[in-house]
Amino acid sequence: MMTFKKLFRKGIALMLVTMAVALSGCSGDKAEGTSDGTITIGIPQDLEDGLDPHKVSAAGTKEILFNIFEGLVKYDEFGNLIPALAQKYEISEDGLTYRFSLRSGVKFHDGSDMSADDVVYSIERCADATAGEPLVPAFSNIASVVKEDNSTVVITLNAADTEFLASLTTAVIPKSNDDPATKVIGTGPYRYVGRSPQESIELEAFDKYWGNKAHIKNVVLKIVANPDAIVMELTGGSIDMICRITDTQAEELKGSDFKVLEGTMNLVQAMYLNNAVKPFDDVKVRQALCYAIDPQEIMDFVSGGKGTEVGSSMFPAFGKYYDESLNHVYDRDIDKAKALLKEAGYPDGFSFTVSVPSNYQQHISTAEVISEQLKAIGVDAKISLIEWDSWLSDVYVGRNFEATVVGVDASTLTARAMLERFVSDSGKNFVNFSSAAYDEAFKKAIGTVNDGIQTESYKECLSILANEAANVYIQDLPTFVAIRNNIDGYKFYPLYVQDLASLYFTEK
Amino acid sequence: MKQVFKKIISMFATLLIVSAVVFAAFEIIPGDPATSKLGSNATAEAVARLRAQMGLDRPFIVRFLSWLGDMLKGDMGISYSYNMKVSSMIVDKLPITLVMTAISMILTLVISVPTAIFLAKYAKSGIDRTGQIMNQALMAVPSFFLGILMTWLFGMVFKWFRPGGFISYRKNVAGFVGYLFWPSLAIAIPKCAMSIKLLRSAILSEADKEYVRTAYSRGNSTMEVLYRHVLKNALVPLITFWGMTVADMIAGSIVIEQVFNIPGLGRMLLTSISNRDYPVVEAVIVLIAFVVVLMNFIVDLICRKVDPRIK
Repeated sequence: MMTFKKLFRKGIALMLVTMAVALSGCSGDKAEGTSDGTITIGIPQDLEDGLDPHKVSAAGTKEILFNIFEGLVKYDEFGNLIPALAQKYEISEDGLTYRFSLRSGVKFHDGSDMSADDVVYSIERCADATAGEPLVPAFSNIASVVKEDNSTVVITLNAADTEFLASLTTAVIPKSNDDPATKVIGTGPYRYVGRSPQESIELEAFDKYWGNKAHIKNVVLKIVANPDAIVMELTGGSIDMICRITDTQAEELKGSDFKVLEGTMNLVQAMYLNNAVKPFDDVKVRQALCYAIDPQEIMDFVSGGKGTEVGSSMFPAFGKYYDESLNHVYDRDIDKAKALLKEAGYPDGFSFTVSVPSNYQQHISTAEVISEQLKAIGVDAKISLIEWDSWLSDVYVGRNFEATVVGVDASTLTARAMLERFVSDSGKNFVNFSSAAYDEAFKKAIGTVNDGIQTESYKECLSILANEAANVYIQDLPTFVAIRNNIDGYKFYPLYVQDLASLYFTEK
Repeated sequence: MKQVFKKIISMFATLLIVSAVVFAAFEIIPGDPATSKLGSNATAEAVARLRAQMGLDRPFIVRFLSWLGDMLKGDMGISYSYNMKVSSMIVDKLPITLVMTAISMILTLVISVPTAIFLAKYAKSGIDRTGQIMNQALMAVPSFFLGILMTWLFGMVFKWFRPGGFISYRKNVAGFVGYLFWPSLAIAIPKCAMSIKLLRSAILSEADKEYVRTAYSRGNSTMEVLYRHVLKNALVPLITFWGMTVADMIAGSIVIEQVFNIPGLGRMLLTSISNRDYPVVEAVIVLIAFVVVLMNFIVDLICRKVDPRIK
């Protein structure tokens, strides 16, 4: 007969064994490479701008293609550039010559070997300027791309550019692929299997991947077009994970089979002002708006107080350039705002229209709070909801607007990607910001190979944007990711990336 | 025969007008496929280049005629967003819409015909009155609202199906049909209620006619009179109604697809409109218009067959 004590002891021993098994199960799963199984991830829209990695532009498409394609270098979760298809690289002292030693044994998804020819082809394809601006604008600086031998590629620049390396995250695709738009062949941890428009996209772990193989074999990206259905699809079991849910949805998921992770979107949400139209061509008017608007109150209303305030065109994840003191250039001061309006010749205020893309609830809510806040200084902001497509053509390209609330992100993780658009003659300067001091500071920043001078110049750019009140800066939006409890390994990146290869099942 | 020929001509004229109107509509609304595709990378120069590549820099009439020419050759073009053949995209989505329409139509017929006969048989009785009141109520509820109610009741409370859990026919045909049953039911219920009302009153008005008395006097039983004589005549107006219902179901599936999160033709149409993906929008709308005119045509033929008095 077993005594109580014995039973107790046995119980503990059993518990320890189970724990050990469970623990080894965890780590084993993670380390052992690909496990069978499927994860279904909800995405808000289909990859509608195609699958050619050099031609896509939507952030939602790029963050998925990150798993299929790789460049010579790629970003890690901290925003550092790490060697990918290049095993190592050397940069000459004058900053003009880049010598890449290619990793050996890298296979494309079609089974062929990646070679120096493919690298040269991919870079040349993106640098081709015969039809105007090259596909990768930074490549216009390339003087030559040469295959030195089968595993070495040398790129020579016309002018030194400390941020050039970031543009080499550009996907390497096989030279033999005659139609990259429909034949999706890369070197990444996942390979493209197929798609059904507006329904789903299927990926499969690539078994000949050169690096750490993906943990989960099959990935289905299911399009969840109706944001109101997200919670239902999660709890109903149709999807296992979805990114960028709202604060309210995160609350609804409490106590369910899902955990909710919080991160930031890494963008700059602002009320962007058209600096070329009246009355926003007057710096005093822009400053008055900044004084009248309180970002903290907006964050309280829109996302339950979450989010991080920004005071210029730089988000906090970019620690090197983000300057918190710029958040306090315009602390809320109604009297000062009124005085500035009076000086500018609008003692009784004025009215203007804020165009907001109708598919972004957080921007709409932000615009609503702004409109309320501006009433205090007699300014009447009318909100006009427009389709995303009209926003692109009328506001962004046509620059035919007064003010708009959107988030602007960085296409590559460089200060240049954030700040180049405010140079007076930039094609992307949709706010028509124009400042000789800014142009000069920016030119200085991109012209130097000295990191200290560069950082300082970029910071100067940021403080000019704040002091000139180019836009009414608000926040970097919070973002929430819902994942089923048995899946782990999600990593937030400081740019638009969904790293699917790092996900793994914690139990079977 | 001459009549049929005339009908076919007018069918094509309708399609031509519809496609021209859609083309013109896109001329008027803001936004264009090039900016849509380039997104925030767009510069005026890049947009102009892509527009030229897509052939959008040509004048309106030239684009319309070349599209029309390709269409007549059976070439629906290539989607701007997906770089896929529009025809293969439609073929991919069509089964969803067709199966949903077929299930709704079957449900409508199977439920409405017996119920209408039953109610007509017991006309003016208590059952008939309650039946009619219920019918009136169901007729008034729009199917998207029924869809929401059904998702809640059968999906969330009874868990008979997984809300939003559409299963592709390529993966599991039974699961596919099983999921589509619910949206089909939501579409069918209001149509059913209308058919019952129409058929019931058609039967009753036929029953008052003299040939019915003659049939009875020849010794037929009530059932025989109903099925052999009355129903045949009463169905004529219903055939027209059902024909229009089929067309209506295909066009109306756009709404119900949103409620049940079904990636069918409707969703493809909506997203293609917001992406300004003209080739897809044109093809889907012309297809829907084609179904509508085709159903009209078929209904005409059937009615002629059933009732030779119609010329």
